[in-house]
Amino acid sequence: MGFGINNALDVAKKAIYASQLALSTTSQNIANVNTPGYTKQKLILSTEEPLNLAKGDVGRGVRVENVARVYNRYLEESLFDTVRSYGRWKTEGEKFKRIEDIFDEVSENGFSKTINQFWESWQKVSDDPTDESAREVLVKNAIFVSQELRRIKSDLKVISRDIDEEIKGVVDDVNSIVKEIASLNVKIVDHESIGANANDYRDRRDELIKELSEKIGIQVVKTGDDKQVTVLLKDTGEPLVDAGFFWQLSTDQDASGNLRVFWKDPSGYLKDIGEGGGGILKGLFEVRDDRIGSYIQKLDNFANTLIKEINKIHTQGVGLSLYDEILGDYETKDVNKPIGSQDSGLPFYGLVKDGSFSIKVYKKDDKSLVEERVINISKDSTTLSDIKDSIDASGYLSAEIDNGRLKIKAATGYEFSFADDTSYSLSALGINVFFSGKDSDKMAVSSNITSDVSKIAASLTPYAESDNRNALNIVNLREKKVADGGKLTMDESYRSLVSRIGVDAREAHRNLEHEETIKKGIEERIQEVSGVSLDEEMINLIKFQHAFSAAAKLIEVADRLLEDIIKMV
Amino acid sequence: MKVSTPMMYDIVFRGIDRNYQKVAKYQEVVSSGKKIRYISEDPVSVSESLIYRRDLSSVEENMKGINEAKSWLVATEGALSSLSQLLTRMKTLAISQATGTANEETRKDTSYEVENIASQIRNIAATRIGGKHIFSGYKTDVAPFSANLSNTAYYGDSGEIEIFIENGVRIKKNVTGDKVFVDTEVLDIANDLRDALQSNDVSKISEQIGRLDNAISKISAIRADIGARINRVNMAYEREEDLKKTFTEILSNTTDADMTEAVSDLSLAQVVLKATLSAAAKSLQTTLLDLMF
Repeated sequence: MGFGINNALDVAKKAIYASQLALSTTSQNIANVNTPGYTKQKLILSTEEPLNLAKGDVGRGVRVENVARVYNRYLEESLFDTVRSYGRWKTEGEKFKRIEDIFDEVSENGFSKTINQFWESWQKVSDDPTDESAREVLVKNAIFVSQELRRIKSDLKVISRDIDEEIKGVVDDVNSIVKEIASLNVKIVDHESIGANANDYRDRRDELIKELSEKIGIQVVKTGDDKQVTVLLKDTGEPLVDAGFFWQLSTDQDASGNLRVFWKDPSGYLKDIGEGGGGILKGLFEVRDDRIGSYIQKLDNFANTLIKEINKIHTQGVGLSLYDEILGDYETKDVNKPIGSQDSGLPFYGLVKDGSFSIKVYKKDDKSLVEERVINISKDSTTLSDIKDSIDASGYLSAEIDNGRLKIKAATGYEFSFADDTSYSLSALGINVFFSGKDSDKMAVSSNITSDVSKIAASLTPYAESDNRNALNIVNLREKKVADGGKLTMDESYRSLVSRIGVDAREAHRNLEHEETIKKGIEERIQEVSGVSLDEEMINLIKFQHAFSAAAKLIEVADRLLEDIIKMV
Repeated sequence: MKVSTPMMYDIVFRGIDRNYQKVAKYQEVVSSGKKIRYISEDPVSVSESLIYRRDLSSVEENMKGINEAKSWLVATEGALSSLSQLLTRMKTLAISQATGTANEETRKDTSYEVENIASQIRNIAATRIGGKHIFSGYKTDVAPFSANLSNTAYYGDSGEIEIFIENGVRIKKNVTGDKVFVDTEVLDIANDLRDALQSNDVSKISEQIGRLDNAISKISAIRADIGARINRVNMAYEREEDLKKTFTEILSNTTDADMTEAVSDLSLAQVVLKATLSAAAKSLQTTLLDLMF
């Protein structure tokens, strides 16, 4: 009989205990309403095992199973995947804004304006080759062209170098996150070995996995009863975390000066992890290597083609004044190697063909032709030495090699010009050229021209001041398909680069929008399940408060009954 | 769908942010006057605008070429017209002095006039524009013929100077002195006529008439060619002017913002933003907390 009241007290005690725990859980939820990554906690209650008596089951109150996280693991896992794509496209989108700014073509101050002015100044020179100021303007515009190309390339390179710094930053972050995940693995096992759920540690570990997933491509496997996670690199499979162990990443420059990321094994073995399998890291590598890398190459090709094609025409012509002496703009590394071979070290060795060129020597005072010297060129055998000897043999000219460059001088009272270069050796040697250099870094206007604009070879014959045929040929060059392997004109080639950048950038922005929408969608659904609603917690507060009051009342009543019984004795 | 508290704040914030971005975007359009800011917003139209800009700027250059060509052609035409008159005069003199009404004295007198004409022909040959001889081919710094009447050598070359008047289209702006004065033999004819008049040689005087006819018709043909070229140049000018208008318009359509539309978009976006802010303020205020305790 006393048993019934004792039981009631016991049940009441359990009820109070449960209510207190519930209130504490509710207050934990309320306190963490704005904590990122916090999953709502819930008290798991069940009824105690009843006592089986002959008369039937007697309940023994409420049992607290656990405080659990309200958590949908499938949603969390899809978030990890989505966040990886989101991280990649967000990175690419940001970098593209900077790339687009370099190419300023929407505001009309970009390179296209500079190149238009360049071609137009050639046309102006062709309108009147005697116009010295038109020549000065041409040189100025040509210098702008080479400066712009150089600036664009170097601005792109700056972004690449910034990307390298960011890669290092990402690697540092990954390394510290991975370390922390490993230590959380250990903490969670320890904490849960005594029975309770390590909810806050688990929340923290999930948050870290999400951060990690945004930075690099990982695969997460739950192990040990779900208490531990093993984190692997998605593409290559190397482990980053396993139980309490962790591995680190490092960075190093490769042969071409590009930063690469490596996975480190404790034995010292390094493995190049490529683009990292996704996330911000992949975005950074993509932009640096695939995008910027290819834009720079296109730019260099453009510069190379412009230099080459203009020089091929320019070297055929004659300026308003002839040469007393000239020094070539390109140097050969070995004067005894054929100028048409790569071993010569000449940047445009590939232009050289079997053929010849002439040097015409004139007497200054009466402009009479005293010698026409034809130099035969065989691309596989004629060396710079041979050419020098050939020219030097002339009675009116002397030739020497100055630091790998050809130097030609006329005897006093004589001057010379060039013609009919079917071998393009003059272009390869940098003699009578308009541009020097071979790519965006070193492109410049030849010093022979900048020091004397009358040397701009607008004519095809000497002493014919209005002969503009070579200048006309250069103007024509604009419409010739000489770029991109002979498929496009120079203008089309630059436009296709601008287009390419616009399209690539748009793809990145669109993908980002798409991933952002998906990510938001999943985050909202997670919030729906695991997010704290203050209103809900308020109601819980009332709920448990009433339960607590009722249980306290129960104790009061049971206590009085017991008292009555005791009085009876 | 259950809404958690953080989600509530997030939804409200995102709505506001979205509207701020719209306002910022229209602000940019109004202040720059351009439809877009980044190439990626419309890569196709940016690419097209590059083409139109190039075409528009080359129109300017082409028009300069057209004017240059035209001034040469007009000067040439003027010179040839004067030359024609002189040849016609010589023919008239030759005809009259070849008849019986003339005599040794009249012939001698006429020879002075013919000598004068011969000098004037040399002057015409030496016509210059901007300091350049128009009848010397490429050697525009050199007079095509000597002033010395007994020297009929041509000092110019056969260069026909081409100049761009439209994209990919060139025109010759000159006629060479050898075509005008040597092939037509006018210098020799003038000297021979003068000599014939001086020496009272009637048959020789008559000979010159046929030669003069020849020369006159050759010069006519050259003048016709020059006239045709002047026409071409005039038409090219008109075409370039049209192109200039067309390209300017297309370029504007492609890249310039419609300012009225942009300003009204901006105003609307600002109104929407204000409404969103106001709604946000209200929805963030009330929770159960306020009502329960």
